[in-house]
Amino acid sequence: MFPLMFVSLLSTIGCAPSTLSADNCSDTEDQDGDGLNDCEEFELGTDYQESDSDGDGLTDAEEVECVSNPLDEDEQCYECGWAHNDPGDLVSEGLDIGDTMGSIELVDQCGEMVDTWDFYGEYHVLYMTAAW
Amino acid sequence: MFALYEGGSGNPATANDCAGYADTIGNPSFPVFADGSFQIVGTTPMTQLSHPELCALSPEMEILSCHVGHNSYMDALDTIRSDAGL
Repeated sequence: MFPLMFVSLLSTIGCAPSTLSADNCSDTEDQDGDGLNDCEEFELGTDYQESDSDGDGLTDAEEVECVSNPLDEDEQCYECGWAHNDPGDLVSEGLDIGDTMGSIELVDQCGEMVDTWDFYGEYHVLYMTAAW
Repeated sequence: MFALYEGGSGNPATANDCAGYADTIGNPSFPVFADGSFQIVGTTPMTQLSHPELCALSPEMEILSCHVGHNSYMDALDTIRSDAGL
């Protein structure tokens, strides 16, 4: 009797399901108040009851906005606003014409170390010069 | 993307050099890197024996072509247009 009443009470006060699915998530509710609705959190795999799923100090929505992985505490928004484009399983093959350029980290004008592979997905001209 | 290998004094470029350079060219919406440790030389055909040098990169980070000289960016852009089918 008591368990049934308890479940009924939970249902009455609108408690969310303990796990989300595509069928039971809500695209109007944002239980953790991070700016992403529960269905968006389900699709991203983020915690719909925790505004900062990876605990890196930025909300899930902030990381989505700046194209950073909200499930990777080591990846945060670049101060200069560059996207963290995911190169997938990209592998460098060498340093000649036709090869995939290797991933290197360089400091940018905002003073942050930036991975060149974060610029995956668009054409670029890499222009090397001196400041003098 | 710009990458400075030397600052204004001729020393290896630093974060301050690229911040100053970005300010000088109007704070562009693309990165200005400092590469004072020659990492680009180790990952592209560029040598730092000429000035400036540039490479066209595909969306998959493939090195499409590399060029030397101030006006050679037009050649890099031609390579990109060709690769993109434009």
